[in-house]
Amino acid sequence: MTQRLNRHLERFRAMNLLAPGEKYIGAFFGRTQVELVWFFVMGPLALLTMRQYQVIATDQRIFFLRVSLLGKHTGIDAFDYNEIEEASFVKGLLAYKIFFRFKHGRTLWLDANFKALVAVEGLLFDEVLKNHLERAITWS
Amino acid sequence: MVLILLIATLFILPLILHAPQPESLREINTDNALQRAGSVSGTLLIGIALIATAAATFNAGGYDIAPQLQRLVALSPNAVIKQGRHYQIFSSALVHVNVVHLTGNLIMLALLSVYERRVGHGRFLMVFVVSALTSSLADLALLPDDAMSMGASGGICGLAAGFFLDHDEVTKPDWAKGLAGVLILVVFYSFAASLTVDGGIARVNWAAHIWGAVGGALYIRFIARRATERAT
Repeated sequence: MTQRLNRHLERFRAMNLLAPGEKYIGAFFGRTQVELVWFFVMGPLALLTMRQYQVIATDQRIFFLRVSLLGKHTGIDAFDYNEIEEASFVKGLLAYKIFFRFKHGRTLWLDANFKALVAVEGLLFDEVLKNHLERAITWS
Repeated sequence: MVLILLIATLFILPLILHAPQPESLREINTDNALQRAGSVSGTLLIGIALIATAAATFNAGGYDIAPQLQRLVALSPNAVIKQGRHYQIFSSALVHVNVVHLTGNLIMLALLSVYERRVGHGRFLMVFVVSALTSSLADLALLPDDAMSMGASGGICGLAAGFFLDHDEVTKPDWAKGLAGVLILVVFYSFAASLTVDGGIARVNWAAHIWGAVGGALYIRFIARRATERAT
């Protein structure tokens, strides 16, 4: 199956943020979970509390491209691997549950699919990316 | 009065105690309660105005609006056009028919404080005022002469439109699609709410909701965002 272009990834490439010699490893699309309590307060609108990120991993850093509900970019954050204190990757039925704890105190829970009906570049989280992130975060 | 005080407490406390993390993962929220209240000052101002108006206009039992005051402050085309009560265009956005009506709008307002945290209190208040006025003017044109309309929901639907549409780099097709989505949501929630309203005594003014959302969306697109672009 031919892979469709990922416009978030295209946008990231157009920004030219990689340092000389920095190597692109892979990317995936992640979304935060919706807390159950919001469904009781606002019904289906609770889905609006979800945040979305196009995550891009290189050999030196990890980028979090923030994506709004309309699919627009609202900003980007880059972290060296040594700025991440802890990470975990738990495989579920369709998605990985990914957890990052940054050294400045923020935490981030993401769901990232490893299966999908469409083939889009940089959409799915795979074993290669998982192994790379585990190694990079553990050794930095 | 006890009920109104309880509603006020349940509205204000979560807004001050809740400390959402900034969108940027680099930043961390270390604001104290006063700073948190400052970041949602527009929401608090509107909410307290709605609660104070309810306290002033509700019956002694504190559950619904006193009928004589309702005729005075709710928007009625007959009263505005024939009796010259122009102030009803503004006052109708602050009064509510009963506690359920008030609570529903306060919950939506508190949720939309997310939008204020993103754009600041100035634009948040302007979007509310413009949307509330648009929905009042639409009511004047569309409602039967003897009908009455009240509630902050026109302004709140405008804030909902702002939450979806007030972003950088939104193209015209995206804006149109976003507005269509907002209107579908507004109509869906208006009809869902109308199912819970007591048999025929009051009905949800879904047209006012739609015009509030349209007014807010047009203000953001053609005035607020253009001013932001000129400033940058």
